[in-house]
Amino acid sequence: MSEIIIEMPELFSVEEAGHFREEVRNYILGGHSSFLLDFGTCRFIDSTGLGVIVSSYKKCVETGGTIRLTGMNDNVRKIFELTRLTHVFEII
Amino acid sequence: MGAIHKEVMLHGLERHQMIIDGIIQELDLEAYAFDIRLILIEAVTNAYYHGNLSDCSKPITIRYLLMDQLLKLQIEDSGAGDSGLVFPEAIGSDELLEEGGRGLYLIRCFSDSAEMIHNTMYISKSICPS
Repeated sequence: MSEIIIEMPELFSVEEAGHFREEVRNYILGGHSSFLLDFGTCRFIDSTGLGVIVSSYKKCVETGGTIRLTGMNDNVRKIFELTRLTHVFEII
Repeated sequence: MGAIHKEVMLHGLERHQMIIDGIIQELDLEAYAFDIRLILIEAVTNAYYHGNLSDCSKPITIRYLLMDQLLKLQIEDSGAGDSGLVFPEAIGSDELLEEGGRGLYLIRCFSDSAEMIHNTMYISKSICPS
């Protein structure tokens, strides 16, 4: 199954995280399990956003897939580095 | 830099991003927008879920004071007070895949000091003039 590219929202916080969770859930129900999250236009992420990405990642791994990240600006990358999630996700 | 000392009250999380953006704009701290937005969103989210137990009818008050290159923030919820709240110093290897537990850690990372006293979070952050 091909990798699904998801364009991340400009601000990835509580409300947007809920939408993302549903979107990934629907893809997984449809048989997809590998995703590339494109942060090219994302300029903010908080712990709620991180938590939903981690939760989705675990579901993907359970079904043989993964989540990769790309396009992060310095601020967003710093959040992933501080929380050590750069050890979890492949960043391209 | 003149002192700005104000407070704003909100209920739930429907308008909190807009309110926080307004505070940053009023303080003229666009250079620190990412840090302040992160601190306040994490603090307000914590107040809503853990202090107010997701009850939109309960108020959350943000107080902000900018004076002498120091930004002081207070985020007060309507809860009974959480004396056991800990701001972690690090994320452990066994915690990497937890869904929660990063918010207070990020507040600590982006501020000079952060502590919870009764039902109010007190945060300070140094601001260098641009």
